[in-house]
Amino acid sequence: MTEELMVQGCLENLAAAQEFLYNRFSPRMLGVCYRFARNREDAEDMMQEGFIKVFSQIHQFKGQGALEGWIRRIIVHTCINVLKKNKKFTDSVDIFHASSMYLNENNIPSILQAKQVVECIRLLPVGYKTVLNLYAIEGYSHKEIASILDIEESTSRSQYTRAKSMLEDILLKKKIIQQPRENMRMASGTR
Amino acid sequence: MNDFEESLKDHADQFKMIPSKKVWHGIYNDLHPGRRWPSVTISLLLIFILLGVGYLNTHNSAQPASSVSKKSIALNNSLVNQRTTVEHKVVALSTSKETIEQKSNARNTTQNDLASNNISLGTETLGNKTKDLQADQLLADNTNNADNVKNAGSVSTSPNSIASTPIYDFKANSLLKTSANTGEDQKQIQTDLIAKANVEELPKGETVFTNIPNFESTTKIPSKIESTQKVNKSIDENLDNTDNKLSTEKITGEADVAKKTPDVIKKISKVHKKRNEKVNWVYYAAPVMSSVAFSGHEIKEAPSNNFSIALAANQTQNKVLHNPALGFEAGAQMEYSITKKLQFTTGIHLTYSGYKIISNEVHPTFATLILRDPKNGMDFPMSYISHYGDGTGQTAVSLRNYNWQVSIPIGLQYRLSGNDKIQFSAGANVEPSYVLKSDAYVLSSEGRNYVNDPSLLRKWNMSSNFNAFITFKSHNFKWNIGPNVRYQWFSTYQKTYTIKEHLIDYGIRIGISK
Repeated sequence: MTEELMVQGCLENLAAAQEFLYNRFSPRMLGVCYRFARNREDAEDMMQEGFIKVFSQIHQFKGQGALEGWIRRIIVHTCINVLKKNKKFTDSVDIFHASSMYLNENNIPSILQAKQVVECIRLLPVGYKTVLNLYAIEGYSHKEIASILDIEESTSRSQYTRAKSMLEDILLKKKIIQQPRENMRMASGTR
Repeated sequence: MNDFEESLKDHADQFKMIPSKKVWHGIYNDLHPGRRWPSVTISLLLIFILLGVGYLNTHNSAQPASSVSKKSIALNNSLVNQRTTVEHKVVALSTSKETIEQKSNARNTTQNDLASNNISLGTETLGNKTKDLQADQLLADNTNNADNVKNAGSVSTSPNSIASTPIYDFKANSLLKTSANTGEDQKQIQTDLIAKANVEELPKGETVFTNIPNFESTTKIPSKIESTQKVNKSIDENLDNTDNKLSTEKITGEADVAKKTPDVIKKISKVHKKRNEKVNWVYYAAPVMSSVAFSGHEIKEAPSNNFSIALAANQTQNKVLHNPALGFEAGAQMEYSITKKLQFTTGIHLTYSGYKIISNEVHPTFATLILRDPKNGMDFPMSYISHYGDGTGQTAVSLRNYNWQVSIPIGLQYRLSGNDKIQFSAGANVEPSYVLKSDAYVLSSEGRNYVNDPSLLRKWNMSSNFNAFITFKSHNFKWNIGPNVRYQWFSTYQKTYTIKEHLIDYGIRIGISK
């Protein structure tokens, strides 16, 4: 089934088309939600809410970009809204909390398969990983992030710098990356 | 964006997770609220149907007076009709008898007359006629012949003339049998004859009518004594035959039936009532606590080298952490009394049972189940993607193994003790069951994950139900209350899965009947 047909079916509120669209994009979208969420259950809740928005706002999709990109933006915004609602975002942007997480090696789970990177991102404090997800993975600018998260743009930059530094350390400890730390240091984003 | 960020993005974009079914169900229910909870709708529909059937049955048995009275009326009408028929028969028989008597009387008179006046009759005609006609008609005809002899003084009679002369005119006795008779006349005659039929039987040959006033003796009959004697013989034979056929026993027997009709009605009503009493419908429901017992043997040897020794060793630890869960039973039971204490039971039974598995969420991972082909006994592995761990992880989650079964129980029920007000009974039955819907998670062979495979589930099963209960009357209803245990004989799973699971339900059954 082509994307056009799926969209058309969803516009007509056909359950089969909706299910088809859901089956096609839900695994990746759950991966997105999982990076923002505390656990799988929260991620599924976020995705469920996000897909309901997708189906109810499908008429706004004009077909100018990729359908997946459009769905992904809705899902990401839904995740941010859920985090804001739960006040988990503002409570954990604190640097000291992040440091304590960083020092606790036992919090790093033994991951046997791929997806180590994602699991390492999830180890970051909520504030850090949110900014990191939005900037490095979802491609938002610091300005947009500041607007979305209701924070200063400079705060977003500093959060990202710290998040990246922490993630590097985790990845090194898990031996996912081998380079010396000095070489891994990256300047904060300039978008 | 530098290499690190790009690498990070690539990794993150590749990451996929398989969502659980409940997410789509949640979305679907939100988008299509009208189609929400189809199973609940079906369940409610089923319950309403059961209640409706129950109500109708209860309603029917709740109006025994009206229905029985209607039936009694119908029965009475039927019996009255039968009685009328019997009376008609009695009338006919009485008529025949009276005719015989009259004939006998007439014959005596005629014989006397013939003896004195040399009557000549066509006796052959009379002889042939007796073979073709029924006794009463024949007698009537013979009588008519005799009348003809008397009235017209004619010697020869033909069958045609016999057939065309259906009138018996004994004016003095008001006995008329003619197509021209009015209904009132017939009623009057019937009434008289019923009264007469109820009288003691008459001795053979005895005449009731001693006088025939309008009888006129003939003087113009030729004198042929021999012929007359033949005629007399023929008439005698006919009378004897008729007497045999229309024995007074029969008459009195039928008259007795007429007398006994009210008793018959009573007896039939009793039989009807007894049949009703033998069958009783009980509608019941039982909240139950469902648990499970595992049996069967673990697979010790892996079919190929792909399975490690550690995996086989884990088979011995194939334990499912589980908790009992609430379920329910409902149904309608027909009880048929075999003896005073023993009852045969059957009906329809709906069961929802299951249990909770203590599990935990894990990242989607491959899990293996070693199954056995029942045809050749060979073991083979099946791989599944599992989201659920063995319950020892952190993110606890409860999985529910359940099934909906509909069954037809067949069993016996025995009254242990009691009186009219309260009774103690026990019952047992076997229930061939059809699994309407089910879902089950089974522990993988390595014992670390739960996997879900509907194809492993059995569609038909067999269970037994054991119950003991107290029966008492309250507010025009009979209540049955007592403990109930249900055991599922066959495993929930097909033979390919070597671990056997037997569901056990404990509950309190509450039944109601009229």
